[in-house]
Amino acid sequence: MVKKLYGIIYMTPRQLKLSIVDLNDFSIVEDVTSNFYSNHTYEYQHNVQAITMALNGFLLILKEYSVKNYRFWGNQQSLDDISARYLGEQIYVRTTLKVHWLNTSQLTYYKAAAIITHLDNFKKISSSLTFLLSLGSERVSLSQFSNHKFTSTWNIDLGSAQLYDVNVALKPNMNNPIAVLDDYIGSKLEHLKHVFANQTMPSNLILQDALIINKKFIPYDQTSYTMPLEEFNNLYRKVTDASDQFLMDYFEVDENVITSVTSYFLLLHKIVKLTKPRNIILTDITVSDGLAIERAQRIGLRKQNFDELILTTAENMATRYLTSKSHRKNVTLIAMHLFDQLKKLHHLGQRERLLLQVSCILADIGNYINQQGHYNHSAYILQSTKVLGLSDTENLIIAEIARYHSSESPSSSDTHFKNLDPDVQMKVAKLSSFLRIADALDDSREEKIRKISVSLRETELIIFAYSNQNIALEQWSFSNKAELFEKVFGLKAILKQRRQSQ
Amino acid sequence: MSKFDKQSYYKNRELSWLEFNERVLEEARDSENPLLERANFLGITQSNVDEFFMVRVASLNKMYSVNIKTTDASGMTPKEQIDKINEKEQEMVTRRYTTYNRSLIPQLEKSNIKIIAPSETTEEQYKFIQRYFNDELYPVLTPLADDSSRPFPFISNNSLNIAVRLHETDNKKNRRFATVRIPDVFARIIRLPHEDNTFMLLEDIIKEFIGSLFIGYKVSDASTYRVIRDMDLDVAEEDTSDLLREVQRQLKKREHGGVMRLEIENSMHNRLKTRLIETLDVDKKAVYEVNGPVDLTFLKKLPNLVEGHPELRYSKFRSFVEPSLSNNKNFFTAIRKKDLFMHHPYDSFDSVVNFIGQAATDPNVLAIKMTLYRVSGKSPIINYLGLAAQHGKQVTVLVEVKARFDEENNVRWAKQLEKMGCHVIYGLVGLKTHCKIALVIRHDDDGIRRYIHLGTGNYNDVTANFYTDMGIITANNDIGTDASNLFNMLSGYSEPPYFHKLHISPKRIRTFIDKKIDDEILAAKSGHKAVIKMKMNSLSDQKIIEHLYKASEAGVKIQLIVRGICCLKTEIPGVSDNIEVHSIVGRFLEHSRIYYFYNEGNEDVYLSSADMMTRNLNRRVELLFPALDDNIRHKIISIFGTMWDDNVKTRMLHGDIFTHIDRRGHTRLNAQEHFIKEAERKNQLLLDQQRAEKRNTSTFIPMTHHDGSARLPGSDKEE
Repeated sequence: MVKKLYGIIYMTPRQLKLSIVDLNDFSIVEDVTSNFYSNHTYEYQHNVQAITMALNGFLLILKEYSVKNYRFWGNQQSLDDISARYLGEQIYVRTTLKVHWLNTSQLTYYKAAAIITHLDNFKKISSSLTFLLSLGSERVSLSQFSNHKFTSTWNIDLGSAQLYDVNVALKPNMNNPIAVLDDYIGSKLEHLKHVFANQTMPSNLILQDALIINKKFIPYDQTSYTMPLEEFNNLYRKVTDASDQFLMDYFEVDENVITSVTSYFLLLHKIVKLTKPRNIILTDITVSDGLAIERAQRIGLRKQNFDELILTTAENMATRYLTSKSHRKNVTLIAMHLFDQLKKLHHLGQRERLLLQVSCILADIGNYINQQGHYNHSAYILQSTKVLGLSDTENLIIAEIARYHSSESPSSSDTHFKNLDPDVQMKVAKLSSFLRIADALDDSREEKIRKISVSLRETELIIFAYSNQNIALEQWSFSNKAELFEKVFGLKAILKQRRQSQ
Repeated sequence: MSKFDKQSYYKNRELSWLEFNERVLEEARDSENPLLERANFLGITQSNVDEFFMVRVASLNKMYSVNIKTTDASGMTPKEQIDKINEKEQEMVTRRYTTYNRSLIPQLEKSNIKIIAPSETTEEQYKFIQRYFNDELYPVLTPLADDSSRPFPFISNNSLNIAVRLHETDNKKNRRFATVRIPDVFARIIRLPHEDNTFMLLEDIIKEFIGSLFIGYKVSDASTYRVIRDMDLDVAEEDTSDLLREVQRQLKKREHGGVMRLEIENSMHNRLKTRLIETLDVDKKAVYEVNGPVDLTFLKKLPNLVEGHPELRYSKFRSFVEPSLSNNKNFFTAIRKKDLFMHHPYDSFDSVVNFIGQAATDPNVLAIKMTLYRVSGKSPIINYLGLAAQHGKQVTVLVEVKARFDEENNVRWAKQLEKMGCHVIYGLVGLKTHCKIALVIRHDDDGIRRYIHLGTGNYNDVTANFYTDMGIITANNDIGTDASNLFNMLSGYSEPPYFHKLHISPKRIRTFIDKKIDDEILAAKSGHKAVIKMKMNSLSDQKIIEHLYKASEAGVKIQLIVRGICCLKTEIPGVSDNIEVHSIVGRFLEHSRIYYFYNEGNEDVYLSSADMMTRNLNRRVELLFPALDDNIRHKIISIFGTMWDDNVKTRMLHGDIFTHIDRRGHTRLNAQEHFIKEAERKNQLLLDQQRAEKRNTSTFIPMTHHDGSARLPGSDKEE
């Protein structure tokens, strides 16, 4: 059996990690973590030297195991796109490694995927209400599962970098810095209060990426530790009352790290009060594990598919913005049929199929703001509320598809469309042409057409719509909206009704 | 502080070291030892003490020069220590030269091995040395005058020089001094023709013809002298208080390389002597007048120059090579079956060399990583590492360039390794890497496997012949992960949250040993059996000694085998009644470190590269590893037992004095000889077995391949 060794390099603003994983069983062959680049700054830009050194060492280690498949990801939470591009270039010329940046929603997605796959008893745990709290450098994310299913996720603007900064600012001159810090953290959680106001169900809280606490509690041959609520409360009291030196001793860390411990406990305590778990499950499963799973999936070693996480988020979002469930279901059905039947035509892959599906679900959310120009509202909502698991580019694509799914259509004279990246332009054009047709076929929102079939001819595409009702409205809408399809693919789309015998 | 903190409970480490050197001198005086080996021992005492002055006395002098008054554990100030050292060493010098003049030289002569003076030569021999002087020596000799017009020349550390007193041939009043350095490119001992095993010292030849260097002058006196200087080594790494680092900072401004010791021939003219002491600015107490040739280290070379006389040497023996580790077998298969243990030099070091050699060419090996501290002159290991790199393996070597007196050598090797395509790490800032570990990463049928060699001694195929060391080769998964983590740490990556089986200093070995001692104390206090056994080179860490005292008080039985420095004192009532200390000094240099804890009958055994010295525990990367395999564990316990029962080369510590064991009524047991015999017996057994097998072979069995590759039971089932 040949080992499918895969190298995962993951960069955060504090340190770098290399994991060499056997994709067959996800066993870790080697795990190497760099030292903190610096104790004083969480900014990549000041640490390029340290990053380069660590990466070049990683390349050597990869060679030692003759690992040829590896990939380098970076946490982009603290960087804007342009700085990220600059930094990526700086690293590339020094190491030949190309960085793939991950945004918050991707990080949450990979972390959740890892938990679902690797956490012992996840099935059992998640049969009751389960929360997953992932600590990150810029943002903390809280996800919810019920009945084994992922339901929603919230981001909290509180990363280790912020907490560190606040802590440093507070420490020397406050007479009760902990209380101030406590208030600060409370203010960041304000928006979650109403969400959990009625939360009384027994639940579990999984805590991810709490390195210092993990080190203390997770036994070395395990990947998790279940802490009953009472033990947590005792620990919370102990930590918030403790001196720095006690904490350094207790958690075996040095003084540079200790400032963040107290703040994490304040945060945790608040989250615990919101979610009311019976147990807190510490785990050392990380984003790297999620990245390994994704790779295994991609090369076909793993059947499990986490698209469901993405679709669930989209569905929940659509529901939150009060869109019609039956309409989006019908539109999705038709759009997917078109996509699948026209593969020869569009040459897009599974990921684009998923993007189309997400767009079908979310295209109409702008109606919540105003029916007039709802497609534009949809687009900016999607730009500011990123969909779980999508990269920035992918998120842009679905936002643009939503923008162009209705009355406006992408055209060469539209300045906004012209400014898109060519690659994005093409995908948006192709996918929105499908969505436009699908949307037209349910223009009356009456679900008159529940089934279609297509026939691809030399110069035209004939869509047979199976319906026994009058579809004149749909016909009219179709004639307006199918124009894009013809522009993009060079085929005239013709809608023909077929009546089915009862 | 604790009640065990009293100064009277501790021996000064420098004096303890001098006493160790005295034990080596006893070996030179022991008539039971073969004569040439005794000469070698005498030479060793000389080189030992030279190094001691260059490093230890130098550090003390540094402290003294900035007027440090703090005392060591035994309550002595630096100045007191220096004076005491010189006092003791003066006695030692007398004994060393008595041994040389009265015992070794006469007995060597009886065996027709002679070191003669020019006056004792035959006419032909005289002609030989004259030619040797004129053709070889004369062109490179540089006489340096010492007069008011120029400063006294710089006399470099450890060089032999001849001080010359002369006057103008025509004007006896015009007296001059000069000095001539004896070039170290020539051998110190010159073999003379026309007679077997007859030698002359280089300085005697030069002195005989020294007149020809000073035309127009007459030489009235020529005597050898040598200075040992402060070599200004990395003192911070030394096993002294942290204070020294402070001192070092202050010293930056001062001139370095002061003279620590001056040795002169006692025949030297008083005027010359005074002049040297004055110009070299050396304390009178540190002036050693010797009755014989200055610098006896040449005696270490003598046995190799002497032809014949096997009766005057240790009998040769063939070390045992575990059959599964011989060169024509696949190591990796054997290692996966069980852990392998070696006790060098009784078990051959070739096994370790072969391990690296096989890894270098095995097609499935991906990478080799190892630490090198001191390597031999033509190290096969270095060659194998180069070979491995050429075979496309990833080779990472940590060369400790700070290894004392090997700095240059190691830098050279490191460069060569880099040229051959290896990735070289040059040690860590502020820490010497002293651990001995080799890691081979191999792609076995069932996946990535790590094979690890862990040792107590250096990867040095030459010293392995006369240092006793232990090593374990294992494919244990946990140890493999630890080894990878260790190398990652050494490459500058962060410490893993935990190690599984290995304990690594700085930090963790001390904590671990402390915990194990505490466990024994607890057992003893609960009335259970509690035993600690340790074997090491030196025991000088005050905290550890204190802890052992505490254990002794609690009733833990403690057996220590300490070869060199021992700052612990036995037989202090209420403090160390339960501690016994042995010291073995013999044919081989005892070098293995064993740490044993009874642990309620579990009998945990650990091996280590670390001594219980402050520097090993605080300022070095050291490794302590368990003997996991039960057979190996028992084997080590039994080896310790044999060493403990030794009554020939063992000295026992009474208070702070080591004395020979009273053997009356006991059968003689020389542990090292015992192990040699055991190795020979095993060799014989193996030979008999092979012969028997050969006899029994009646059919032809073609040899197809030297061995199968590593296979797990059940591995055939997989694709």
